[in-house]
Amino acid sequence: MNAHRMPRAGWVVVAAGVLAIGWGLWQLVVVAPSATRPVAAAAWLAGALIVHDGVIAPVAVLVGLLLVRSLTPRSRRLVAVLAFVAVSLLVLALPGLLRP
Amino acid sequence: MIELPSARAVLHPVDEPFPPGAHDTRSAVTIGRLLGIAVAVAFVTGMISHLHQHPLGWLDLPSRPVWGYRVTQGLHVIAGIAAIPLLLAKLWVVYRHLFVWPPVRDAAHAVERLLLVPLVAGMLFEVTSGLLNVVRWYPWPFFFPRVHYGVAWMVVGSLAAHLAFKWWAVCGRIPEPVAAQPVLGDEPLASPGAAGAAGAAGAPDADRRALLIGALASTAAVTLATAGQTVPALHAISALKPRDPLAGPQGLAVNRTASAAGVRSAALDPGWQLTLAAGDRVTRFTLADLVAMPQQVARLPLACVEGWSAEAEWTGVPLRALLSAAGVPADAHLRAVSLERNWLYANSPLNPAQAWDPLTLLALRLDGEPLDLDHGYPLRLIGPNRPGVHQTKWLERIEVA
Ligand code: HEM
Ligand code: HEM
Repeated sequence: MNAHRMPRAGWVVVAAGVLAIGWGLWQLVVVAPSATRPVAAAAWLAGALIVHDGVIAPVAVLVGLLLVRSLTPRSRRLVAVLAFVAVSLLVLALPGLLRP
Repeated sequence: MIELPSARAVLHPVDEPFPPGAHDTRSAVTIGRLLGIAVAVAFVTGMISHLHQHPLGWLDLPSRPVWGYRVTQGLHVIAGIAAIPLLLAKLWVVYRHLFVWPPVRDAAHAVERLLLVPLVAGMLFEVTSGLLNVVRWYPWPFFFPRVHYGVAWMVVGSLAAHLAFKWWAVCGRIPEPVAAQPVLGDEPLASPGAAGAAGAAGAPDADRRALLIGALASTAAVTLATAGQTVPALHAISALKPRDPLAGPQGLAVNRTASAAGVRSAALDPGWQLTLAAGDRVTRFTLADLVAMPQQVARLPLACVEGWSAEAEWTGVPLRALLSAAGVPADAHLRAVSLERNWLYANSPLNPAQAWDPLTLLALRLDGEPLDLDHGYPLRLIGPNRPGVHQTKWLERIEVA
C-alpha cells in the first residue's frame, strides 16, 4: 500500500498536530469542565464515530451492493449520484424536521 | 504479505460495492482536497468568531469592514454545511481502509491510525453539532461553542498529521494502482472494475468521475439550499435555510424576544435612562435627551453567530458623541450592559476602535420606525463588524470595563 513513506520532516507536522490536539483536549477537559462537560462531550464524539462507522457507512455499503448487483454500471452511477444529492439534502433537513 | 482468506472471505462483500475508481487513492485526494478547503475556511472563520467573542488582551479586532462578521460567519456556516456531503463522500471513499489487514503494520502506521480517531470523530461531531446549533436544537448538556471550539483544534491537529502521513498522495504523487488496491487480501478482487479493468478500460475513471460529480452536485445543492440565510441573492432559492433573516418584527429576525429576556416592563418603563459610567463620572440620558441629540442614519448588517444576516437601516446617536461629551478616554475598553440579567450575552465588550467608530450607534429606530420591543426598545447597540450577540438590546448602561 504505502509505496511512499512519509518524508522525515513530516514528523514535525505530526508533532505540531499532536500539540493542537492537546490544546483542544485541554480546552475540553481542563479549562472549563462545567461548560464543556467532558464526559458528555466524549460520549458525543464516540457516538458520532460509532453511528457513522457502525450504521451509516454499512448501510451505504449495502445500498451500494444492491446497486452493483441490480444495475448496469452506467445506470448505477446515475442512481448513485442522484441518491447522494438526495441524502445530502435529507441530512440537511433532518434537524429541522426532528427537532422537538 | 500474509494471506488471510478467512477474513477476506468474510469481508468480501464490503469490497464488492466499491468499484475501484471511486475508492482509490486518487479519489481520496480529489475529495480530500475539496474537504480540506471547506475545513480550512470553517476553521479560520470559526477562529475569527472566537476572537470576536473572546478578545485577546493584546489583540483588538478592527471595527471594519462593516460587513466583516457578516461575511466570515456566513462563510463559516456555508463552508461547514458544504463539508457535510464532502465528509460523507470522503469517508465512503476510504471506508474499506477501516478493515485493512493487518490492522497495524508498524509503529508509524499505529500513530497514523490512532490520529484518525480524533479526525473522523471530530469532523463528524463538528458538522453534527454545528448543524443542530443553527436550527437551535441543543440536545446535549454542554455549552455548544466551547466544545465546538475544542474539537475544532483536535480536527485541525489531526488533519495536519493526516496530510503529513499522506504527503505524497496529497502532492499528487500517487503510486499508480493496478485497477484495484485490495485491502483485505493481496490480489485484486473479482469485482467488475477489477476483473474487467482491461476489457472495460475507463471504468475506474467513470466511477471516479461519477463520485466527483455526485460530491460536487451535493455540495452545490446543500449550499444553494441554505446560503440564502446570508446571501440576499439566494434568499428566495434557499428552501432549507435554517433561518429566514427577514422574518420577524419590522422585517428582521429576532433570536431573543423581550419576553424571553424578561425585560418587558423595564424596557417600557417611562422612567428608563441610559447610564454612561466612566469611573466615578456618571452621566444619565433620558429617552428625550437621546432623541433630541443629532441623529445618524447607517445601513448596517445584523449578523448572527448562527450565520444568518440581513442589512437594515438604523437611526440613532453615534456612541462616540456620548463618549466625547462625557470625556471618556479614547483608549478605554467599554462594556454595553442590557436591562436583561443573568444571561451569558446580556453584556458585550467594545474595544476602542469599535467604541469610537462613527458607525457604532445607540439605535432608536429601525428602517425609520421606532425599534420594536423585540429589537431592543428603547435603545440598542448596533455597530459594524460585530457578532449579533454583541449588538446588545435594551441598553441600560455603557461603562468602562
Ligand atoms: C478533513 C477531514 C478528513 C477526514 C475525516 C479524512 C479521513 C480519512 C480516512 C479515515 C482515511 C483512511 C486512512 C487509512 O486508514 O489509512 C483517509 C485516507 C486518505 N485521505 Fe483523508 N480525510 C480527511 C481529509 C483529507 C484531505 C484534506 C486530504 C488531501 C487533500 C486527504 C487525503 C487522503 C488520502 C490520500 C488518503 C489515502 C487513501 C488511499 O490510499 O486510498 N484526506 N482519510
Ligand atoms: C467543518 C468543521 C468546522 C470547524 C473546524 C468549525 C470551527 C468552529 C470554531 C473554531 C468556532 C468558534 C467557536 C468559539 O466561538 O469558541 C465555530 C463556531 C460556530 N460554528 Fe463551526 N466549525 C465547523 C463546522 C460547522 C458547521 C457544519 C456548522 C453549522 C452548520 C457550524 C456552526 C457554527 C456556529 C453556529 C458557530 C458559532 C457558535 C457561537 O458562537 O455561538 N460549524 N466553529
